[in-house]
Amino acid sequence: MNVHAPLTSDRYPRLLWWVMLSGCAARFTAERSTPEALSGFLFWTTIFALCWILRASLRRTDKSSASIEKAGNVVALLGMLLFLFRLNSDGLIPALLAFLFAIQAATFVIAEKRLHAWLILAAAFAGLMFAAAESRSGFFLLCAVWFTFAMLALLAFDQRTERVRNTLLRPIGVEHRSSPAFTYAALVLAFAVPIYLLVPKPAGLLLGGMQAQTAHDYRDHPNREYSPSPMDLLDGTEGDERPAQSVTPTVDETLTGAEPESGFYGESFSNSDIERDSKSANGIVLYVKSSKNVYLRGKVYDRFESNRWQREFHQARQFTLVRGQLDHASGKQFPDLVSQTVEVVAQLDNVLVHAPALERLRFPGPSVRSYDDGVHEVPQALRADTTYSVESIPEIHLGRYILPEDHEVDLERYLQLSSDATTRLRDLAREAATDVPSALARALLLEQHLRDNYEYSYETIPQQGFTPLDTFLFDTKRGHCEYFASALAVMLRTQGIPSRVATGFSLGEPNPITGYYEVRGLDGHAWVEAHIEGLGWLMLEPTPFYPLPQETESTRQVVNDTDRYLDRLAQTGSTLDPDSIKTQLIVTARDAWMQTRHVLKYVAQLPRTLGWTMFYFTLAAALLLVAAYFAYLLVVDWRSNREIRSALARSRAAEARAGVLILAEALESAATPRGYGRKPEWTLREYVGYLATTEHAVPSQFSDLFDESRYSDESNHRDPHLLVHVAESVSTVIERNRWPRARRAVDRFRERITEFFTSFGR
Amino acid sequence: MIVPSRISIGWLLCAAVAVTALIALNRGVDLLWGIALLLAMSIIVAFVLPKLQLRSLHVERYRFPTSGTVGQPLTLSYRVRAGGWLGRYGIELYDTLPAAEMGGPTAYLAKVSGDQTLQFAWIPEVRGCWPLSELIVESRYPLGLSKARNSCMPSSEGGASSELIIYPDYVPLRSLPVIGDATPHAEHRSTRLRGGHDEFFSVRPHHPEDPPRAIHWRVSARTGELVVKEYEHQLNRQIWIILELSEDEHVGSGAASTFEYMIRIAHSVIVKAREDEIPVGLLYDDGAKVQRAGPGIDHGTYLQLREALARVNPRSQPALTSQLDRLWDVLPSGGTWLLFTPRDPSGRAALLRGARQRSAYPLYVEFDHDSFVRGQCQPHVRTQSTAEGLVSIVADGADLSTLFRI
Repeated sequence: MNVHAPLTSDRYPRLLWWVMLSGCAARFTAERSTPEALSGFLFWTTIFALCWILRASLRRTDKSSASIEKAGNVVALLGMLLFLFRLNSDGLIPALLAFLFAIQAATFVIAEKRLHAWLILAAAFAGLMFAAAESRSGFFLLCAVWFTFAMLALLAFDQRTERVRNTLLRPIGVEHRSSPAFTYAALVLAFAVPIYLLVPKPAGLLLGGMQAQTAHDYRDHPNREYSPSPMDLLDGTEGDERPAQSVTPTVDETLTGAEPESGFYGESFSNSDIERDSKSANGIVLYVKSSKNVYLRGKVYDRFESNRWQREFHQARQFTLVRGQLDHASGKQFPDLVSQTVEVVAQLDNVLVHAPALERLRFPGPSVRSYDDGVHEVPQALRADTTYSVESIPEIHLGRYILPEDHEVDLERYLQLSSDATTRLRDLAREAATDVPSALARALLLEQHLRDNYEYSYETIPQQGFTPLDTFLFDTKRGHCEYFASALAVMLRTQGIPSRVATGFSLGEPNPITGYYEVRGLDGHAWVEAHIEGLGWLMLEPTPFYPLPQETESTRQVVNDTDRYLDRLAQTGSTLDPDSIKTQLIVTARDAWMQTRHVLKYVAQLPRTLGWTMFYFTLAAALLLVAAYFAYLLVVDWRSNREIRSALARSRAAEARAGVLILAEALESAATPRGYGRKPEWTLREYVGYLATTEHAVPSQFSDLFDESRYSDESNHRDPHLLVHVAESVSTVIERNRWPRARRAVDRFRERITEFFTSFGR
Repeated sequence: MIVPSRISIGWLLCAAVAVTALIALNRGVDLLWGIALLLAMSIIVAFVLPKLQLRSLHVERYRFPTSGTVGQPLTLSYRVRAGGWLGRYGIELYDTLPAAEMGGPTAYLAKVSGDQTLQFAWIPEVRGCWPLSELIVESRYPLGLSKARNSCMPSSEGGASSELIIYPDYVPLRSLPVIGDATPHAEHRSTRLRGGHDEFFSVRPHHPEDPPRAIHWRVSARTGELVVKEYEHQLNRQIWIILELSEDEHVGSGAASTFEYMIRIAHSVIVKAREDEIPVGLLYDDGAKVQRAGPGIDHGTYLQLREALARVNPRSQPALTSQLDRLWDVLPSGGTWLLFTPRDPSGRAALLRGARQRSAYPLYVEFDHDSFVRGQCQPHVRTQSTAEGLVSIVADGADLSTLFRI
């Protein structure tokens, strides 16, 4: 296509405007905060609208092309200033996106030829690509669909204009302003949407490194001169002046004299935190891209005292990250590599959450502390807008992760029991895991016992960090995840199985559209790790609210993900705030989706279920329908013939004038179903003339007789021979083809069949 | 900025799909997969759709005109039958009309569905005769990435015409100087004033334009048909147009060629002659033989002359001046000859000499070939009276109404 072709039609600005607007809407779905997204979208919509007004006014006042270009330059200059402003305030990517919009606005003002339109399209597409990488919202796909419509409408219209430009003939009347792109885009979506829903998408190759970025400074002591900034560390070019580290791609390991991490689980919670958390428990705290649904493991607790868990001394090693990377380089080959990218949305503590058995870490900070129980800490609390990624190699057994022990571990500490382990608790554990010699089987039995006999309740959250086991196990039998984890860990210890409580996050279900796991406050979780001889630390999930890990993950299809995602949302909403409108809407959407899926599955399976029965039934039903239809036609033909014969008999008996009229009516009734109908504009004379050209000729004098009978007041002289002749003609018409409707249906059916096979052969 | 003047939209879209899919594959971003999928589907559907568009689609001419005139609007109708429930978009119709120079379709049907009759306006720009053979239907909808093509045979229903003839236009001439110029009415009056001493030549069939006084009542009564008297004086009052069809003698292309100017001038002269009631005839060499039409002032002769002007085309044949012997056999003596002078001066001299020998008064048109070659428009026709006759020099873009006006 000639890029210098002029944009002649006045529809171009409108289509371009839609392209810009849809790209803009898609970009602002990447904003985490709704008000920010809306205000940004409104801002650029206003700018685009002003540009349209400017464009129109410049052309209306017949300004020269130099003036128009000048106006475009001014808009571009403002865009540059905006770029510089945002570069300082928000960083490079937002600044670039703003500049892309400014370019679109400036080009829109001056757009005169196809090149300009394509420039706008390319800029909008680039913005869309940026937004796709940044957005975590399902609304993005709606905006992408909108953009597709707008883009295809523009391209299709452009193609049409190109073809019409050199057309010889001009249509007469109002030009058909149809929107051909609508059908096109609808077809595109009709194919694309099922594929997107049903075809699993491959995991990312992550060539070129894992992601890690932040806008914060994670240094221990930011004022120390030799400490490189996090971004310098990521770049790896300047700032790190230690030669050994600058060339080593992974780690500089130093033994630390760090104080052991200790303290009670939940001690940092206050009542206000709890109230706040219960209100915003459904808020997203992390976006996680994970190749497998493995819990994000954070801190681990090993000592249970006074109904509280605490963390005892553990050996720690301080690793200085080079280029933001830590590589344990264990050299092990595990088939179950788990790649995760974690984006922090709300502030957390300084423990990294990730899939257990970390092998590689990329974090935008200077150092990380690693404990021998697999816990990793960063110097400062994790803050929003921080992204880090990990590669872990846990062993997966029955869908549960296993942490193999690399070194000798003092298992005694994991068998510690306090006075909280009452006698009846020990008895309960013994009963639940009775007569089973294997530690693994006993652990699974205890887990199942808790899952089956106790109820999850969010109401006990205010007691976070304090888990009165006796009350929970024998009185209330309701509690949240900590109750279950504590109970199982203690019960396992009573059975001589070393255990500990791990905390972190359950991944929940991925958003089916974006593919990201949206980890919410309520997904903050505690579970148990039991040491099984020969295996290592096996994860156990005693809380019934959380589904048991699956042995094999089903193929990641958007439709299946949607099932689980909606179900999870509805379940969480019902737990937190069952009466809210949002929960009701989600529950309704979930039910509607499930019903639809159920019906579709049922319909899809119906032929398989019924098998040959279905085939014979359909065949029989079809044959029956055909037979019924033909029977109906035969009956109609029979009744019609009977009525005509009766009319003929009446015409013989009637007086002259009426007899002729009855005969004329019978003639028409007989000839019409046989394919010789009378056109509305024909007189009977013309009709008789027409019949004379067919095999159903009647005496031509009949029309004279009819005219006399119909229009003349004089009493006519009935010609008995003529009337008998006409009656005989009518009878002949009937006799020649007694079943006209049925025969015609057969002919039509035969024609269709022939036509079908002919076209098939062609 | 260096920008290629032509860009293929198909390749652009493919590149966008490839880039998006690669990034999506590397980073594992589902939303990017979504965009890549939408783009890929756009390409696939755009490739397949043209083929589907033409299935069960039939187009035929409907009540098509058989003739038209250059510059006068014509209404052309096409009946489209599209089977199925889906509409058809962007159907391009290629009819055998004189549109080859435009390089685009004859008609563009933005949307059709079911049975539709679509009307189009057309102002023919060139005269000629075109066979109305099969119609070609094409579709490039929606993006022009692929093209499907079908041919629809013309329907035999309703006695559809097999050709379309476009007659040349004409310019109303202000004057047409011929020998013995006067209207038949005035001529008849003057004959009476002269006491009927003009020499009687013959009788000829009566035309509706003839004055009643010119009717030879006695012969008419005898023969049972109206006839009029012709005098020798009147016989000389006729004009012969001699066309030069040799393509070597003409320059320019399309409507701005000397050939088309010649046809337009000839048509203008015929119309003016009819207005002035001067019998007019046409003479041209079609390669096989010298064709002669007319002379006459009746409508039938006019239609015959006009059709001849619509059908003639430049031919690869020797110039008329080299075929003068054949020409003399059919040319009458006397009258006024409209000649289009050849580029070769010797040929021009031979032509004028022949006219003198036949006692004819030559009006000759000389084309300013340079202006036609270079496209330099000169609105005025230069006319000068010479010893050989009246000569008008016509350049490209000349106002032909001032032809033969000194």
